[in-house]
Amino acid sequence: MYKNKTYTISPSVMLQHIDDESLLMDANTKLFYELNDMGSVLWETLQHHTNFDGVVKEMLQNYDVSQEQLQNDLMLFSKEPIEKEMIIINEEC
Amino acid sequence: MKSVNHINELLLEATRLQPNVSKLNKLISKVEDYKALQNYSFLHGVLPLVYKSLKHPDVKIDKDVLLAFKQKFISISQKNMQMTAELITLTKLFKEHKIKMLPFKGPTLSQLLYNDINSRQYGDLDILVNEESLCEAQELMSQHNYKMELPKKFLKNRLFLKVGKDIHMHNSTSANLVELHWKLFETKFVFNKKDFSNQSQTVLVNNTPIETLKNENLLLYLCLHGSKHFWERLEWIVDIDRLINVAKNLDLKEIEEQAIKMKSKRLFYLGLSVSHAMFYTPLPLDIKKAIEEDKIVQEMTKKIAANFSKNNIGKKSTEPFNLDEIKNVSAFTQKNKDTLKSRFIYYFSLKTGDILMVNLPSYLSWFYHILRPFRLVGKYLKHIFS
Repeated sequence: MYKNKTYTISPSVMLQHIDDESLLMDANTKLFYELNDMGSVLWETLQHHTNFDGVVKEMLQNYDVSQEQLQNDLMLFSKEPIEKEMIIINEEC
Repeated sequence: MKSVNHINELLLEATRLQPNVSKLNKLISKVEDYKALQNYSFLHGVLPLVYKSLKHPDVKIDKDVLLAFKQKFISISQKNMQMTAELITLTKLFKEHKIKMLPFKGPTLSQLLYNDINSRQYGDLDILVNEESLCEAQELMSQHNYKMELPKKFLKNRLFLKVGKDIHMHNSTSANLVELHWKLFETKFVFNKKDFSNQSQTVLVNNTPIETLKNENLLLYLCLHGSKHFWERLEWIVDIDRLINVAKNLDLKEIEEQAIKMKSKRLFYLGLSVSHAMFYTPLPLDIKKAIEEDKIVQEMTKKIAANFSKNNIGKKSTEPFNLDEIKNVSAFTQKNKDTLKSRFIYYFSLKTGDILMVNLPSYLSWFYHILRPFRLVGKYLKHIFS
């Protein structure tokens, strides 16, 4: 679905590891989201890239999981942040 | 009373760079009131550090007590995250409008000292701008949901700008307070007017580069700020200790020279002395010797340590005419003989409160000196009758 698309993480979003919890905050809505370990890793990887292909490639290098599974997980994980404009899909030129 | 003393000792041990776990365990076993421990940790601004020490796997503490600490820590962290996000937004906004600004304390200090934004408690954001940019910065913030406490006309009052140092801007959406400074102190601690570049350093906060005071200026600021508040909160002493331990190539000689220029050498020494006395902060031999030879600094250090042991936090600031404070002000000056002069200066120097009574044009500014005694008497009477 998001293949070949670039994205930007909203500057209002912040991830912090507090104690043994990973909290994602959207300063615009003042809402906090608690991420599990996998969610936290995915978000950190999203922060290092600007397109989903890059995220999948990096995750494949580090985790023993199929590309298809990873793409599905990534889509599922990013659905809500995209809807809430915490991840902004860039318009294609 | 006994348990309060153990709480103080525990706070001190728990906020050390490397807390001693067996000492922590001994002190924890003596604490009778864990609510008071949490309360004092918060009042001293060190709850995140205390919690981090208490959760060490070898520390023996009741699970419920630790859970209560954790809940408070998470609540502080959430607030810190909101304030940090707000600071980042402001940084970008000021940059877009080409207004130079230096945030200090708050998230940038936490990041510098602990490499995270959650190990310090902060209740507001502090931003330094050039005096020439003050109106522009205030206007820009007003356009983005910030409200100034004062009527805008005071920003044109030269005496207010001379006597004051900051204005309070409240964000009506987030309810956060931003202190917009054009000086760091009422004294002559003013930075290069046009260019902050040689006075600053960059710190990465949530992957965003933010300019803040360079370590030398920061240490001097922290020493003067803590002294102004008589080192009432432990967090101010911890900040000094951490900065000296964390900052590489910190030029204490350069800071000493700057402090001498500002006639604040004793305040600088006092900050170092208190930190050394309570946290064994490493100091260069020559500075350590100079501090040890200054009897007033030694005496003040003992008083501050005693004040901490007595748990006097929050009890001092309610006194409008605090003689101890006046004695301290005179003692801090570099010449020992000018006590009377210092008292005179203390009573008759204009404060922002005098200017804020009425906004007078420049040619009537002498009238503030006539108004001041009346304001002080009014304040005193109000205190007596309340």
